[in-house]
Amino acid sequence: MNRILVCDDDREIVEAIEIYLQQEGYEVIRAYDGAEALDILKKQAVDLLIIDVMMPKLDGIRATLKIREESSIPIIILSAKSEDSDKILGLNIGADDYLTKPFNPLELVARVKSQIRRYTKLGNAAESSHAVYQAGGLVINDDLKEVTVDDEPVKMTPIEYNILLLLMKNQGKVFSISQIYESIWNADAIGADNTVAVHIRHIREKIEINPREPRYIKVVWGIGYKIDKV
Amino acid sequence: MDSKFNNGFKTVAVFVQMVCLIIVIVVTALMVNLFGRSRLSFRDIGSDYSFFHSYHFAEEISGEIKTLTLFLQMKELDPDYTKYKQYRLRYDGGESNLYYWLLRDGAIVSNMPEEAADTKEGAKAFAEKMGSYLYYNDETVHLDGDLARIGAAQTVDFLRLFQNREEGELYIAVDVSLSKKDAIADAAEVYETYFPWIGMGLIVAVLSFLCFLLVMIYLTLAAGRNEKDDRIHLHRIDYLPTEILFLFLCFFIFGLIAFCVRLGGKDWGISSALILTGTLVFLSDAVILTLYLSFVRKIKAEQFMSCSLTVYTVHTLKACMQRQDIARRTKIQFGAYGLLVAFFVWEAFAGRHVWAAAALFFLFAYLSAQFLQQAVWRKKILEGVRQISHGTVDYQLNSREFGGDYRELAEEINGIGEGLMHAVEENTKNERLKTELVTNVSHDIKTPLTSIINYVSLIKMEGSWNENVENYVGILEKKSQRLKQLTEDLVEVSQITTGNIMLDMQPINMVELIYQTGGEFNELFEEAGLTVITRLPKEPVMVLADGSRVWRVVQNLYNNVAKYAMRDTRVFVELKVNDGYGEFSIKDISAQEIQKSAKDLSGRFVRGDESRQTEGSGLGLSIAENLTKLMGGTFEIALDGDLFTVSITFPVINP
Repeated sequence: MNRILVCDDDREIVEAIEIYLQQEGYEVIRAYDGAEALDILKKQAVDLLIIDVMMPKLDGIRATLKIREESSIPIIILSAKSEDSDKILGLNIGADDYLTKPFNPLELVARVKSQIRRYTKLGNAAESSHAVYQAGGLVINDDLKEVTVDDEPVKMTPIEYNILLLLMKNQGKVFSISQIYESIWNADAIGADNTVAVHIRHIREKIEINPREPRYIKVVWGIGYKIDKV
Repeated sequence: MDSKFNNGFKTVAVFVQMVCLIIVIVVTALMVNLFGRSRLSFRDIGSDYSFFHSYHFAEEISGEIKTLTLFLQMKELDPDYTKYKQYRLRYDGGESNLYYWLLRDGAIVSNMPEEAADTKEGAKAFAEKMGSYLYYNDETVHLDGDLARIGAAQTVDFLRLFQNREEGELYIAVDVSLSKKDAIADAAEVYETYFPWIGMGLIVAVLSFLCFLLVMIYLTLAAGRNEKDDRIHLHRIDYLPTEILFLFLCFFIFGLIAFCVRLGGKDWGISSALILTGTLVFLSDAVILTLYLSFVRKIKAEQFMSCSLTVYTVHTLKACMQRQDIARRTKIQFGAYGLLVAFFVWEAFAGRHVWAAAALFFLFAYLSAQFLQQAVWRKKILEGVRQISHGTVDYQLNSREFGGDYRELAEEINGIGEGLMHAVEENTKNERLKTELVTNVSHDIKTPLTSIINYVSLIKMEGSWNENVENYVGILEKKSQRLKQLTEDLVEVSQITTGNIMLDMQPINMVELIYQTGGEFNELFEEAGLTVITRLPKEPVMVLADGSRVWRVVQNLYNNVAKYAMRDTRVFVELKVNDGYGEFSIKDISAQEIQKSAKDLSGRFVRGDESRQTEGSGLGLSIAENLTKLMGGTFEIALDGDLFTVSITFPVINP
């Protein structure tokens, strides 16, 4: 049973998160400020930390920095600050995920699951077959024509699979709609339309926890699509 | 603050400089007196000869021999000249230390005692007794005693006595005991009195002069300062206008020179001349030093020019002119220049004066220069006003570059600019505070909202309520989601309207972006029963913008359409390139009659139906418009009955 530390100065939020996580079979420890969270982390083994940013005594950003000095447990930051700069800051100082309040509790649970799976799986990385491509929790095995997200298999249509494979093979590279069209359909993209974009959205809906804030397939608006190297 | 400058030191310095100056001047005067009047010879300086050994003696004696020769030439004729009578009294009357014995053509002329003068032997014996003599006999000049030292060349004047004569002999003897009070005796006395002092006097004078210079430097540095503080202290005399002091100094110096010239005309004895010189130096030094130090203090206190009648007069006139209003001032200037021109023209043409023509020319040159200068100033001021009116409110004119009214004008313009700048700054600050307030408030709202959403969700999970409760919970869930959307939009709109966001401007392809957006909204539009007709160019349309922000704009427009368009109608999405601008437009048929004008629709919290019952915050169009403008695009809403058109344009860049 995985143990999760939830740290927020708002007790009701901690309680609600606890209920959701317990339903999924996790053990929850509560903390109400950063300093308390640090204390608990010193005394007990914890598998994942959910931490708020704006808290008395020690805020989430500083607490994360301190924790990262000695531990590599997954940290999900939970914050009312929704600006891009806040998200970038949170992820840069060592958080694994950033969720803005108010959040969808089911999304939080999904993200927790994803992080814990990745964390516990760490070490036995995917077989070093040349036909297997990985980006974070997303793995595509071209031999088996199989796509998994956090070890959960995902069903895909052939076109979706090919688009995903193209992006996974060229991680970090941006593909425009016509490039994708030409390489998947092997035809000139003369009558290009929404088709590719619709497929991409379908893929996102299948592999992302929150398709509006994709972790894997990123939209570079006005330029194309890409999957970042992790 | 410097203890070097205390009053004791200064008093001593004044005293020392005065003594030194007196020494220098007195010694100089003495030298002038002695050498200038041939009382001493320059060639003797540095020697320690006695009188009879000195060059001065040689000069004296050759002069005496010249006079004696003249006398002897005259004596033959025995004329009735006053000069001759003086000489006869001097040489033959026993007033001279010079004795002669002249034998010419057998006749003897002499002023030696009779028993000595009769024979040549007697004369020789007398001459030897006197101590120093000269003997000439046709061929040779024999010099004896002190005369031997001065050389024959000094004495050859007497040869004139023997011109056109058969034969002749001459003895000239000098009584070295100087028993008679004649010119030689006087010269000897002066020589012996002053000569020993000359060398030392010169050294003392040079040292005194150096000392004087040093003390003057000290006094110049010390003037106006004291040991108590660092300020320049002015004396009462320094408050007199500079011109008056200067005039006084000039008059004094001229008077002094005139007085000295007058005194110099008289033949003073050496000692009285020296005393007189010393007294004069003392008095004039006192006056000149006082004035000099006053000037130094004034210069140090930067009062030299300002504390002067001229400057004061000019200032008063200027102030008087400044008090007049510009129109009257211009009239006065015009009148003054007119009079001046008339006067010069009259003088130049009627009086035929060249200076008047020159003055006319210079006046013309001056006025032209001023005219050009004012044109330059006008140009600069115009530039400044233009800058400010175009929004560069922190533009500042350098008012020092301007003169007269233009300076005032420049300063006032700067004042306007500053006032505007302050207003803009104040406004910006207020806007920022507003944004911060909105941001903070929405953060505070989000926390309880999180709990509401979470617990509503928990209630739903409990399940098995009766229908009513399920309805209520559904409403709660919907409204809490709307509240969430509202707070997020609120933060965004306040940040965008104050320009408080960072833009990542890059070349992006609008065609690509519209396809991408189309993909995102495909199903939403299908659900709303809308058919999208897309008309896009085949080639890329590149614009410089922040891709994710343009997506926000287009997303808001599409959302708007999905929410408000009438079911089963067509939506037209178009992208055209006109004159270097890419124009994106989206047209739909509104489901309800829009009661607002096109302009009002992009205002904050404005929705066409006014009821606020539909979802959405009413901020969508406002966000879209402001973001577009921030990125340098234009945003336009057109309303034709129920046909609702939004078009945005961005300048196209060449890929």
